[in-house]
Amino acid sequence: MTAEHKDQARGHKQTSDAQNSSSKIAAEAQRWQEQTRAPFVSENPERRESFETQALKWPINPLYSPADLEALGFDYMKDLGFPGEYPYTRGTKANGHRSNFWTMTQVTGFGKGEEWAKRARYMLDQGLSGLILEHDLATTNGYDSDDPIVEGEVGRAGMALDSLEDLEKAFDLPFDKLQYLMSVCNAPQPVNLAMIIAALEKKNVDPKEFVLHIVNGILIEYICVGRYIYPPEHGLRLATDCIEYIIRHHPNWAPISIISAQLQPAKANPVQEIAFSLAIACAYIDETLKRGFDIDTVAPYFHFVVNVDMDFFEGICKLRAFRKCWARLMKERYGATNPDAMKIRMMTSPTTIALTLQQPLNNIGRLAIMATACALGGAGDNMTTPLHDEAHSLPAEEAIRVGAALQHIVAHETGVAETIDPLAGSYYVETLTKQMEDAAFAEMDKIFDMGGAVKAIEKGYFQRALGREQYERNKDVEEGRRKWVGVNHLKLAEEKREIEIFRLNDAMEEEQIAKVRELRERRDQDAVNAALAKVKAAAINGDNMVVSCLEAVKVYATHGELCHAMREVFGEYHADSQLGGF
Amino acid sequence: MTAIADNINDLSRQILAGNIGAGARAIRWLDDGDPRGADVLSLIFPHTGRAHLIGITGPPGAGKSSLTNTLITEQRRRGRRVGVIAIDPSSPFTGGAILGDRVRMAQHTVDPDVFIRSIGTRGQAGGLSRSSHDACLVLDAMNYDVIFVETVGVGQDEIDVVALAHTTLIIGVPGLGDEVQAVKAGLMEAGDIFVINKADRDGYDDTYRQFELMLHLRAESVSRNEIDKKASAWSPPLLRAVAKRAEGTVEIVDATDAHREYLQNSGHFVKRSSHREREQFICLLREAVVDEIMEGMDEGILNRILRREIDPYTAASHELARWKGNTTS
Amino acid sequence: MNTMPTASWVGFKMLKKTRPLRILLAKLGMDTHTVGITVIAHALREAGMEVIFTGLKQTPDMVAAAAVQEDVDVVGISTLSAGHTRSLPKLARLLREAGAGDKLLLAGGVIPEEDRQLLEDAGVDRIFTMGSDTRDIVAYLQEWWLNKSESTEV
Repeated sequence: MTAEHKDQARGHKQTSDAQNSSSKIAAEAQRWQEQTRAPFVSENPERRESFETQALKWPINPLYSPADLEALGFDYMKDLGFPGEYPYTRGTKANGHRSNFWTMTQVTGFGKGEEWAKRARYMLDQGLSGLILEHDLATTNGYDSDDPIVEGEVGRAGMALDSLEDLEKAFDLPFDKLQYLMSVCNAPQPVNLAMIIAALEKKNVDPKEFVLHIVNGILIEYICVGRYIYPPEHGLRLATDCIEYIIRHHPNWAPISIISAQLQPAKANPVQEIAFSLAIACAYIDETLKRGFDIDTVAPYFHFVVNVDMDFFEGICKLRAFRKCWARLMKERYGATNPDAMKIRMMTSPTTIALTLQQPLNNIGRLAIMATACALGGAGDNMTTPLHDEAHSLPAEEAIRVGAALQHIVAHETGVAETIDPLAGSYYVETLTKQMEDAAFAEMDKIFDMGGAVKAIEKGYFQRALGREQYERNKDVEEGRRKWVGVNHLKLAEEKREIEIFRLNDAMEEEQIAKVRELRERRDQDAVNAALAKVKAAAINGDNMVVSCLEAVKVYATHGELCHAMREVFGEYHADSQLGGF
Repeated sequence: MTAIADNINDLSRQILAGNIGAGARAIRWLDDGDPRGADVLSLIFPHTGRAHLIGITGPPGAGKSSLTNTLITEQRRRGRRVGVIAIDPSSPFTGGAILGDRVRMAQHTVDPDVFIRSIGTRGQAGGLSRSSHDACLVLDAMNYDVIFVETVGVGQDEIDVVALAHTTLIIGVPGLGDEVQAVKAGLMEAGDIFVINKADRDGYDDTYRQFELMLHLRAESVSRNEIDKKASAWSPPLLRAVAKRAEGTVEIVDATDAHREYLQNSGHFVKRSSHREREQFICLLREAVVDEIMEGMDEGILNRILRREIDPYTAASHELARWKGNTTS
Repeated sequence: MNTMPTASWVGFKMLKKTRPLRILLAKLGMDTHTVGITVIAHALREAGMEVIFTGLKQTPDMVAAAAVQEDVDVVGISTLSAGHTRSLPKLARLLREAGAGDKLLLAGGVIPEEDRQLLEDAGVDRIFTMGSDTRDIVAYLQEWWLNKSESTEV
C-alpha cells in the first residue's frame, strides 16, 4: 500500500470509527432508556407531564448525547469554530473574558426635569463615566410641554426637552469626566440628535473625545411599546438620516441600538427576538447602503441590547445563536468581508420581566443566576444589572451596590470567565443553539418574503404574533403551568407591595410650560419661521433631516414645532394593526 | 345630553330627534333580540327609507376601516351626517369578540354627526343580516344621511349583509396572490363600485388589470342577458386609493353619489330598500316559526336523528305536522 | 362555564339568544404599553364577552362618546399615567352627564393604594391593579352581569 493509500484508509477508518462509535452510542442510549431509565421512572413518575423550555416551549428530552448533534448535522468547524473567528459562536473576542472582563455598567435611572443635571453630576462624582438620557412621553411623542394633549406627562418618564435651552441647562456637567452619553428618543430622532450636537457645540465639547450613542431604534417601536409618530417608511428614513449623518461627521459615535430586550415584555420568544431584531437591522442596513456606503463600513455601527430570562439554557443559547446568526447574515446576505462587520456588538443584561414585586430579596438570586447565564453565553461588550427592587422607582443606594456586586461576584468568584465559552460541546447546549439558529433563519426568511420588516409591520405580522404570545404566556402563569416563586408558588399570604409612582408635580409642569412659552416670545420668530420652512422642504425633497434640524434648533425652534413640521409632510401613523394584533 | 327615556314612546321620539344614547340603546335591544327593540322599530319605521346605505367589503388586510375613515371625512366635508356599522367576527366557540374597527376611525369619535357602532357576527345563521339591517334602520330614523356597513367579505353572511346595501363598494388590495380569488365570485357580480386600496404597493398594476378583466367579462355577460336590466345602465367604475394618504377619496365619494343619483332616477333606490325589508320580513318569519316549533318540541326526535333512526326530512315533516295540530310525533 | 351562551345548539335545545356583555377597553394618556390590555381583551373574548377596543391615547371625551354609541355595559380603562387622578374622575363625570352613569367603570394599571378612595368617590366602581389575575376579572364581571340580567331594569 502506498503512503497515500494508507492515509486514505486511515481516514476512512476514522470516519467509520466515528460512525460506528455514534451508532454504538445511539444503541446504548436505547438500551439505557429501556433497561435503566424506564424501570426507574415507573417507580418514580416524572414530576411533570411534559418538560418544555420556558419561552419557546420546545420539548426538553431527558438526555442529550452525541446522537442528537449528529442528527442536527452539527460540525465543530462549521458551527462553532474558534473565539474571535467566524462564525463567532464561541465569542467575538479572541481571548474571551481572560484579557478583559465585560464592561460593568448600571442603568443610572433617568432624570426628571432639571434634576437630571444634579443627578448626573452626582453619578459622575461616584466614578461612573457614562450616562443615559431618557425623555418624557411628551417629547418622544413629538409635542412641546404646553400642548394640552400631553397634560400630566411632562417630565414624568424622563426629561422634558422643548428646546436647545433645556439641554444647555442639563449639560451643565464636567465633560472631562463624562465620556459617554446614551440618548433614548426614538421617534423624532433627528430633532433630538440636532439638539444634542448643538448643545455640545455650545459647551465646547470635543466630539472626538466623547461618545454619543443614540438609540435611534424607531422600527421596533411599531412592534412593541409604541413610541412612534410617523408612518414606518418615514420613520426608517429619519433613522437612516441620523445613521448617515453620524457615519459621515462623527464616525466615533454610535448611531443605532437595536434593543432586542424591548421585545421581552411583549413576550417575544428567543427565536422571535433574534429573527425580528435581525430583520429590523436589515431594514436599516438596506436603507443605509442605498446612501452609498458598503456593508463593511456600515455593519460595525450596529449595536444590540439583548437580555436573558430565567430559563438558564434558553438564555445562554440565545446569546450564542445571536452571534452566529448576525455573522452568517452579514456574510451570506451582504457579502461582508471585514471581521468587524461580522462580529456583533452587544450589551447583555438580566431581564426585568423575570423579577417579582413580591419578596424582592428573591430577585437578587434571580439576577445572580441570569448574570451567570450572560457570562456563560458570552456577556458581550458590557453587561448591566437592573435593580432587584422594582417598588422603588428611584434607585436606592443599596440596590445599586448589590447590582454592581453581583457582576463582580460572577466575574471574580465563580470562575466561569476563566476559560472561553466553557459550555461549548455540551450536547444540550449545542442542540438548543443550533435549533434556535435554524428556527431564527426560517422566521427571518418569512419576514424577507413579506418584503422585509417595514412591510411586515404594515401587515401587522409582528403585532399579531406577539399578541398571541402575550395571552398564552399569561395563561401559563395563571393556570400554574409556569411556577413563579412569590407569584403563584410559595406566596406570602399577607404580602402587599406597591410600586412607588411619580406624582404629578403640577409646579414642575407649569414651570416647564411657562419656560417654553416665554422662549417663544423672546426668540427671533422670523428666523424660526425660515428655518421651519427649510425643514419642511428638506422633508419633502429627501434631504438629510439632521442638517436642517441643526439650523432650526440653533435659532430655538422648539421640539414640538419641528415634529409638527414633519407631521405636515409625513402624516401621523395610525396603524391598521394595533399593538396586540387587533 | 339627557338620560335615555324609560318608555318606548319617549325613547322613539328621542331617536327621531337624533339622541345618540337612545339610538344606541335601541340598536342594543335589536341586536340582543330584546322584544322592546321590535316595539321601538314599529314606531320609528315610518321615518326610515331616506338614508343611503353603502356596504364596504373586501378581504382581510385590504384596509377597509382606514378607507372608511377617510370616506367619513369627505362625507362630513360635504355636509352629510354619517353612520357606520362595523362588523367583526365573533368566536364560534365562545361567542366573544374583539371589535377593533373603530380604532381606525378614532378621529371622528367626538363628532356629534358621526355615529360608529361595532357589531359582532355572533354566529347565528341569518342573524347578522337582521342585526345590521335593524341598526341601519335606527340610524336612518336618526337622520343620518349616509350609513356605511363595513365587514370582511369571507362568509356568505357577510356578503349578504353588504349586498343588501344600496351601493356596494368592493375593496381589493395588491399583493394577496390571486387577487380576484380573494374577492369571492358573488361579490364581483354584486359590486357597484370597485376600489383598489394601498395602490402604492407593489403589484398594483397586476391587480388593477385582473379587476378590469373581471369587470369586462361581467359587462359582457350582462349585455347578453337582457333580462337582468338592474345593472345594465350602471357601469361599475374601478378606482384607486391610498387610504393612509386620503388619496382617491374624492373620486370614491363622487362615485357613490353618482350611484345614488342613478338609483334614485331609475327607481332602484326605493326598490332596493323595499327588497331589503321584504328579505328581513322573511328572515324574521323563519326565525319565529322555527323558534316556536322548537319550543314545543321534545328532545326525543333529536336523539332519534342522532341515532340515525330517522332522517332529517322525515323528522322535519313530523314536527311541522305536530305543530300544525296533528298528533304524530 | 360561560354564563352567557350565544344562540347555538347547547345540549339538545336551541336556546333563545342571550346577551353577551359588552365592554369597552381603552387606554388614557400618552403611554402605549399594551401587554396588559391585550391579555385582558383576549381573556374576556374567551369568556364570551364582546370587547370594543377603542385604542390608545384616548381622552375622557373620546371614551365617553364611544361608550354611549356602543351602549356598552362596562367601561374598562388601563392607565400607566400619573394623570389618572384627573382623567378618571373626568370620565366618570362625562358618563354621568351623558346619562350613562349606570355603566360599570373599571380601572387598571398602576394605581397606588392612596388614590383608591378618591377614585371610588369620583365614580370608579372597581380597581384591578397590575398583575391581577384575569380569571378574577372575568369572574367579577360575570357575577355582576348575572345580577344585572336578573333585575328587571336592563
